[in-house]
Amino acid sequence: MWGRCRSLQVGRGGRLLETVLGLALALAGLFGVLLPLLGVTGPFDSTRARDVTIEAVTRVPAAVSSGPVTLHGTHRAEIALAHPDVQQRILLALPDLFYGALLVLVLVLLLRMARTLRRDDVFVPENARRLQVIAAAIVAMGVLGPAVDAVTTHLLISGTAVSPAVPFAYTVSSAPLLLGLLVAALAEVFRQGTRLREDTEGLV
Amino acid sequence: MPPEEDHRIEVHLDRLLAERGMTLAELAARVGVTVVNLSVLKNDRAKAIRFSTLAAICRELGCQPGDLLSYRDS
Repeated sequence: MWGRCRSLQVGRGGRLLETVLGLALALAGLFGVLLPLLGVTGPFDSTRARDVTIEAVTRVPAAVSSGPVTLHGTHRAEIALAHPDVQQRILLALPDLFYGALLVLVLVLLLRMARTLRRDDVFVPENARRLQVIAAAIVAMGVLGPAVDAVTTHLLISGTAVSPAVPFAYTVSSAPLLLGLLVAALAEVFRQGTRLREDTEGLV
Repeated sequence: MPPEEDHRIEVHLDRLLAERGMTLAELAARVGVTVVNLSVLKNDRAKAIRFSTLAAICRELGCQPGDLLSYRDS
């Protein structure tokens, strides 16, 4: 009886997880991939601005620069394109599409892993491989994502009056890198778990 | 259960049960193993057997491990 209760709980939890992941996948697909693509092709207004790092410091009103609590400018600014052509729209959308595609990939793989919960059988070689791919995707977000951002920004401002004020800035994002390494370690744990499970399969 | 590689160990559980007039379910209850697992053993689909399970089966059937298991030469 307890085994049946536990099986029901795992079944319900697995279905809830699949539902949540499915919903997240739909939202990521819509906002991370489809809308940026439609912004490039035209039906929707594409993004026309991009946050950048500049060499100068942005100015703030003098009144807020003194007193116990002050406001200071930083090296952040925003480049805006009044009427971007198709090529510029593509360059503006590329970072969003890159991150969106990787997020969709991660969610698809997580959804497939959640489906193995239905069989009460998560320690399978496929799940270990899926976790390795998820780890690689997360590391790519932290290493390649900023590169896509930096290169597309450089191409957008190249030859314009804005160019001297915006240096080429590429910084590896540490949070996705660390998270990717953690997931890679988890993938190794899953691989070992799969091997242990295979050792005991058919054990009476 | 995936196809088993040929380990050449034969299990004679069905013969021993028939000789003693015992069902698989009765033996499973006495040994403390599930009927499913004993069925896996009876049908030559097991890959390994715990010594504790082997000892319990021999105790309940009044036999030796050699009566239950044999090695097929070819």
